[in-house]
Amino acid sequence: MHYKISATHLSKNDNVFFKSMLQLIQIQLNDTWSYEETADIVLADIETPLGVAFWEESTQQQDKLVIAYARQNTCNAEWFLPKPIRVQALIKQLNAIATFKSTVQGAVQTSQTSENSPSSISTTKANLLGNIPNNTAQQVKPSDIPTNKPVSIEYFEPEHSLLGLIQSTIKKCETKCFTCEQGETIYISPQQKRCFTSKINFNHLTQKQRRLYASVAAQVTMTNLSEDALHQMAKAQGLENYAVETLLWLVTLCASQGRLMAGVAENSYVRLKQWPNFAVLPCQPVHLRIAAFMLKNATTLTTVSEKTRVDFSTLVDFFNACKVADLIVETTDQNVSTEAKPKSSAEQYLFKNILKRLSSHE
Amino acid sequence: MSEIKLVFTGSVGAGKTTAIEIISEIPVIRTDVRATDSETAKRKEKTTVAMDYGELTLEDGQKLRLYGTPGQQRFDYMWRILVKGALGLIILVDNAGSDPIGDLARYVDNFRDFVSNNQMVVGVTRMDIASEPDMDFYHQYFAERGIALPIFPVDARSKTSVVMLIQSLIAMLEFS
Amino acid sequence: MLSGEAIAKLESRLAQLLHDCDTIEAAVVSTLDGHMCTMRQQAQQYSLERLATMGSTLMSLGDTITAELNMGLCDNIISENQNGIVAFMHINNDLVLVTLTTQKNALGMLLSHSRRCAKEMAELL
Repeated sequence: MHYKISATHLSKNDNVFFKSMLQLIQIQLNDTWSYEETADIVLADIETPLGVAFWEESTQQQDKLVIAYARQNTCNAEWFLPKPIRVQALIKQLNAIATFKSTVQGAVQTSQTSENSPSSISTTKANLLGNIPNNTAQQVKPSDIPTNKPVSIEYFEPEHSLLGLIQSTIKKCETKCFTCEQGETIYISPQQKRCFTSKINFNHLTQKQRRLYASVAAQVTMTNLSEDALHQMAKAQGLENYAVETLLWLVTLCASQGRLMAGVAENSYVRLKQWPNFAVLPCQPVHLRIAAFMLKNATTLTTVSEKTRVDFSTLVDFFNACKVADLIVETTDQNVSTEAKPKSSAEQYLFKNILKRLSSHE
Repeated sequence: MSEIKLVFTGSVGAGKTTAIEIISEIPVIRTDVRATDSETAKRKEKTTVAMDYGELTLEDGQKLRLYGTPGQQRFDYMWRILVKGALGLIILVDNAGSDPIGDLARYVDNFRDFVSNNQMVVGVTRMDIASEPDMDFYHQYFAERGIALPIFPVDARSKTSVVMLIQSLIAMLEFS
Repeated sequence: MLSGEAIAKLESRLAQLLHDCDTIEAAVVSTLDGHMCTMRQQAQQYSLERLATMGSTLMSLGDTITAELNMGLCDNIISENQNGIVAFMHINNDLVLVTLTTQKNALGMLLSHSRRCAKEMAELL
């Protein structure tokens, strides 16, 4: 038999590696496999929100056989390839798929019921919340979660991510707990304008934190709880508390993945309304560079990227976070200060030197 | 190329000496004396009358010199002396002072000429003691005057906070 | 700050200084943190408020320099200029005396009168 396979949402390196390896292992496969741009068998990186969304959609619609590709099989996917790609694992997986396709396809397909799909709101996920007192915790109904509309690859849509859920919770002033499979748990108290969670190292987010922050809405389990229950929980688990702004900022940085926020034209002139409060908004040195430029200049993001020499994807993540924090002003005129001239190499060397010295202080 | 010197200025008790002390790698050279006026004395026992001086050695052996000015207006001649040749200026405003916005206005105005050729950032300190005025007041003050400068809350006792001030200043210098 | 009585004593001693040595054209007593306590001048030709503050700055710098060099306490700072001499010295831990003359050859006189004055002022307080 001849099978066609494609890949989606893989990093460039993984994609190239996968294609090469597929050619290399041909001799060890029971059937012929070829890489195609579109195919019914797809390798999807489920460590990206878009990859997860793709995996969920395909699992539900059962129109494709999707191999989940990740460090861990967090979605309990039937077809799973661990990261990084290893020869033996790939051979084993492809041969298994070929066997499945040719013999027991029908039977297995019916066993893939929607109740095991991560996109449904499983009541068993409430167990992740541990000991929430029954009288105060209430499982959110699936209907409370935004619909499973396909996640946009081109634009970042807060309403389809954890961010949208948190924003909605703040708006409604409801105290809630958010978590996802194999992800971090956070408690939001709009009343206190604080969130409670385990310690966040802003320079090194854990896998669990990244997983939750980058989640699409359908992956998130929300639970209502009272302020009292929240306090008990925070105390019992020794949780840290952070400003809600800090969380919204982090979640946006993690979730936007280089996609401009929906509704923002890429060629519009934008500037910073004011300096972001980096005392509560975690930042990297690159963010300071962007902020310094955008505070003085109103121009397109492309120009900002050129002038600051910051890659567009990082810029867009920062821009989205600023947009969520209401720090962006759109203007009708471009206003790039003539001062924004390149510094001499001596000055650049000096600045770099100072920053390097300061970083040893952190 | 400007001299490699940063100047911390700002209102009495805002934490200029503390900020320099927290990052300087040498014991800070201080010129503080007992405060005799009740206004200053109720905030702190001693006050700087000439300057504070600290240092950081860069990788290539160059020194980044950190100067602190006296806070009181009557020492403004020292402000002018110290700021000469500085790479940038860091203003610290004590939010628990009697007129923080007035203090900010005074310092921004005093160093207007300096800023036209250099850069400055503003740190608002002691917001834990006095939460009013909040940051919106400061931003509004800048917005109404068309001033585009970094301003954010800092804790002068925190190394991270002081480092952030200098990092912001360097970022601004890159595009000035 | 000093009491009214203490300031009156200083004023009186300052008047005596300028009376005893008419080459001293002006004299100022200030606190070490730059507040004017009292001042006197032969003719009303100088604005002495700033001198009081600068006196405190210079004395403090002097103290810092001598401490840095392990040279003990700074006795006085002399500024010899194109058109005159200014001397700065401690009265005690809190007060500074600043005296000036426009006669370039009067350094010895300026210092000896000023030092005696500073010493007596310390005793008065």
